[in-house]
Amino acid sequence: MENLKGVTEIERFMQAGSDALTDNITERLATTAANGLEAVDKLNDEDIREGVIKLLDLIGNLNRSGAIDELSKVAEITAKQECKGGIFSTISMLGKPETQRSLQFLLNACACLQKCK
Amino acid sequence: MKKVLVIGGGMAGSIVANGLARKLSKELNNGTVEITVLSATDKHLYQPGLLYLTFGRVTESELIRDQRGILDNRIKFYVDPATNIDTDTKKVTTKSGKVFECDYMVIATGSRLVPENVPGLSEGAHNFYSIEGAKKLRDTLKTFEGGKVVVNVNAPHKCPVAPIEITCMLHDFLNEKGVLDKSEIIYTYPVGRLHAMQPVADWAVPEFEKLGIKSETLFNTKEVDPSKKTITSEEGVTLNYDLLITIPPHKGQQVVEESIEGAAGGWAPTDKKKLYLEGKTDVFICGDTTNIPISKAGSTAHFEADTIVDNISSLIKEGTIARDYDGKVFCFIETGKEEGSYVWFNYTTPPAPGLPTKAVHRFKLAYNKMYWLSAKGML
Ligand SMILES: Cc1cc2nc3c(=O)[nH]c(=O)nc-3n(C[C@H](O)[C@H](O)[C@H](O)COP(=O)(O)OP(=O)(O)OC[C@H]3O[C@@H](n4cnc5c(N)ncnc54)[C@H](O)[C@@H]3O)c2cc1C
Repeated sequence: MENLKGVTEIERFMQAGSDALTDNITERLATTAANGLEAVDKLNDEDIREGVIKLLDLIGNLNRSGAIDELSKVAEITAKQECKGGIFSTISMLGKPETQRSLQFLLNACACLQKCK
Repeated sequence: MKKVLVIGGGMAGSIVANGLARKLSKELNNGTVEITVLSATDKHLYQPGLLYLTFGRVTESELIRDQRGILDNRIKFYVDPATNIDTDTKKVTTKSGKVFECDYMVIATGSRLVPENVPGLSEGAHNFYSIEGAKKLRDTLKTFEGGKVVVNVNAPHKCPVAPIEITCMLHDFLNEKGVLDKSEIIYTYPVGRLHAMQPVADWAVPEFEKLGIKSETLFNTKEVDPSKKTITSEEGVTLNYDLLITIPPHKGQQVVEESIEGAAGGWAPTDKKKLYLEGKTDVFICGDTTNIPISKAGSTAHFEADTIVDNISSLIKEGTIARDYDGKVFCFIETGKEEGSYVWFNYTTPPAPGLPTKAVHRFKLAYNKMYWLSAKGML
């Protein structure tokens, strides 16, 4: 008797699920699942999988070191800063040590990327 | 280096090429294998979706993707149709004049619709077997105010169940539109029952009765007179119509018919288990292009493609064929706008369609959206 009640409940639960769904919901869910799987499927490529794992590690390191928080602060500060324009203000900006360090970083990054195939 | 050349970028060709790219991933990366696909178009059409386009359930853009994006990016892809296929030398000449050589060849060029084989059919009948045809029928149905609709099935045709599906869905569409009581649906079929497969025919009888759909079996279309709005069979029966929807006959591609010995009607003579061109163990035939007497369906193409992927990769890696194709075909059957059934069979198991349910209908809708995973060789 208890068993039968359980079966009926499961049946009613499934029926409720089916009645609550519409064709459109089914299609939207299937599209999302398909798009998600399509993206996840990229991980079957060894190079992509290794790259994603390295990127995830990198994100972890950046977060631990506080760099991600700093980056978002930089974005905020930059958005607020006024750009005067003109050659003189550019030259004065280039004279600052932090600008020089940033340019150094970009140059190093470019040099490294140049070495890649 | 082993070169695999796939001719055709439809369901069969895409699944074979992507499946091989998965199985031979290392070999592709280290340059010991090369996979090339030739196609006649840069677009990939999900043909089963045309049924839904007809009733305004999907849009054209949902059924089409760029072929390049469907193929693994290590596969070489050219929109350059084959004009001659030499299966002895395994050389393929294309429209642009290029010659492609290979170690393994897969011919998956599908079929072409030939409504022109029946006088008056192209002019007098709607057909939803192409994007343009489905859109034209959709627009006609929007303004249709009821009348006599003839659903005319010709042989051979693509997809074994699409004729039953369009008939049932049409019934529900007219009902929803409120013009069913002013309409009559007549289904014509070329053999003396509702479907070539006896169990499907037996199953369809009560389904059609339930919906009040009439039928005229043993009706081989002789001609259509668009001015008089009549369709006549070889057997001497003439039907009037207000709206004529045809399931057009089809043939294999001309290049197959002209290049391959014994390819009558453009269907390549195929070993039904190994799926290679009869007499050649390194030329495989896949999908609608085979002459195997089973349904011309996407699922057939899919299951055949899986077998070919296993066999070509096994030949390249181990020098031997891996397995046989068991003749499996699986088709969903929409029995209206809200319910569906399905049928599957193989060389040894006959079809046995079940009672229609809402869940199976939803399953088909979900599959329609997940089709691209199949084309990418994942599902
Ligand atoms: C309205 C409709 C409803 C359907 N419903 C279903 C369904 O519910 N279930 C089901 O299983 N099946 C269904 N089908 C059938 C299914 O779509 C086909 O059986 C399937 O697409 C066959 O795959 P294929 O790769 O053999 O051929 P296709 O998908 O037609 O691909 C052939 C490819 O070859 C290319 N080509 C042609 N000529 C050349 C050449 N000379 N050189 C190079 N390339 C060439 C074409 O451009 C195309 O890319 C339906 C079909 C239609 C039209």
